[in-house]
Amino acid sequence: MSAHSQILLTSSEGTEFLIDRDIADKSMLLKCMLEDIGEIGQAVPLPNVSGPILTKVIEYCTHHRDDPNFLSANDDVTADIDEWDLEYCKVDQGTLYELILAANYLDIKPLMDLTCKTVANMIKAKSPEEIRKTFNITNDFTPEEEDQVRRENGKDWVDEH
Amino acid sequence: MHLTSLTDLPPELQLIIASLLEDDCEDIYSCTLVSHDWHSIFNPILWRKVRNYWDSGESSSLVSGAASTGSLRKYGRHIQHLQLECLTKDFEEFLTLSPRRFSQLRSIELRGRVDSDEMIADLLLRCSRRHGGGVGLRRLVFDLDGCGGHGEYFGFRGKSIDALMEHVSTLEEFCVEDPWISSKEIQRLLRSTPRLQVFNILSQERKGRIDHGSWLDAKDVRLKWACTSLRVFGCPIGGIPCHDIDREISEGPVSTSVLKSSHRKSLALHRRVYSQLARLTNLQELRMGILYDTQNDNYHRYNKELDRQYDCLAMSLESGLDLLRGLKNLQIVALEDMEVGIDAEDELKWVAQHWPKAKIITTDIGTDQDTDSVLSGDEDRSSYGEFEHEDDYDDDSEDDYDSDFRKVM
Repeated sequence: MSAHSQILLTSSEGTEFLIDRDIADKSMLLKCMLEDIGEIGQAVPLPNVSGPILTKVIEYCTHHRDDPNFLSANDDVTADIDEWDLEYCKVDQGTLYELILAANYLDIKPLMDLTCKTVANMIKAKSPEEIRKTFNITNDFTPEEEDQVRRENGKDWVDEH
Repeated sequence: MHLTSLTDLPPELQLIIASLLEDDCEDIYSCTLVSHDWHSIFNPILWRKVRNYWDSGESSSLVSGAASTGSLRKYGRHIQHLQLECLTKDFEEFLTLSPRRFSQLRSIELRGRVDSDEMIADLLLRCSRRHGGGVGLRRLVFDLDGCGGHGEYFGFRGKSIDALMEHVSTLEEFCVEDPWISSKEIQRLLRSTPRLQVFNILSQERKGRIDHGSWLDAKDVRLKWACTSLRVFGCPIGGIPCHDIDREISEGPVSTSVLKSSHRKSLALHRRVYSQLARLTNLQELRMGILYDTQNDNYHRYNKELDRQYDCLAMSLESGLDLLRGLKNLQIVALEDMEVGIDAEDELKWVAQHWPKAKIITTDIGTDQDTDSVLSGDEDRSSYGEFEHEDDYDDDSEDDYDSDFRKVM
């Protein structure tokens, strides 16, 4: 098998994407599949991934195609996100969640870590009201319920570090 | 599929995101207050780590909080890491307010003054696989002081030892500073804990009572140890006759301090222990010495020469040290206050060759018993890799380097 061979993928709407094998190999799902069954010469259907999301995923894998530390790239959850990745994640929340789903389905761990970390960072150091605003959530607690949650989770005895 | 909200993601992915915030209680706490949906995602995460420190002067926040809302009983099943510092009565209250099962509990750190065998057994059973439907403990850290003025210490004796044995298949770290555990039970643990990585029962402070410390009697080492992944082994090993000490100890006859027996029997016991230690090829720390609390007011009143370990492994080539040549990863070999021969010339060469990364810690007794040097000088010593003396008495350890007791080994 040639190192420069190409793979055809089909998104959920049936759009075809021709990508280099080394890009496809960033997805453990595709890598294992191609290793197991070899190149079958026909398109690999990805019914769980839409065209726009697949485009974003391919963009990520192409940018990191020569990254030697690709698999361990976002292992450290406390580390800062690299500038390109930060820009890459500036998308609407729906897209971000769909990227998480796609990364999970295609088994691309660094993309999974990056997107999850991005969502976590949107939550960090915010009050409940600020979180609601960021995620466009309506507070469906009654004041009594909210008070009960506060009492139940007395912060002084649930771990604080 | 069009996703608009975090809660549209499958639960396992929500959990991954929530877990990224796990270390910051404030963030998780805020998330529980966002909405009902978010509460259901984040509340279990908030309860993963629970700790409480009782202050004997004030009513406990756990008890008052949990009693008024019943939340400990409601959410206690989510607890994975439990850290308590308390007295027996607080511990009893904690158990009363807790659920019958801690199905997720995998790590317990218990400090303070708890002396009830039954209560400890109760907690250990509530998180066991068999009785509590739990995942089994991976980590158990106990540091318990004596209760009351007379220092009644908790020991793994009755029900608690049986409850502890429920966790042997999952246990990875077992560190108990003060609870006593018998030699037979130590051996039983070592031969039935295949995942154990840290085993440390060395007491950090002896409190002037040598008999409180737990130690492994070489006679009890029979069946093979299962804990071959062990990285840290901290446990005094004794009961080995020492046939060749003939000096006076603390101005008394040697017979009062040293176990006597035939050379052959001594060698057999040495080899029995070495052959088990030799199987611990991942070992990084081998600690068998006595640790004294040098800050303790009574420290200078101890008669360390009487407390010294004379019935320990001799750690000499003649005794079979070479069986341990496979422990290449050793970084610390701590033999404080042990009558060992590891700093003789042949042994030092052997250490440099087989334990290249190891730092050896022995104690210089620092008395006026110094006689001829085994080594000719510092230059020779420095060529044998790292070697450290813990001088407990004074600062002139350089002069006291080769004391009498090492020569006789």
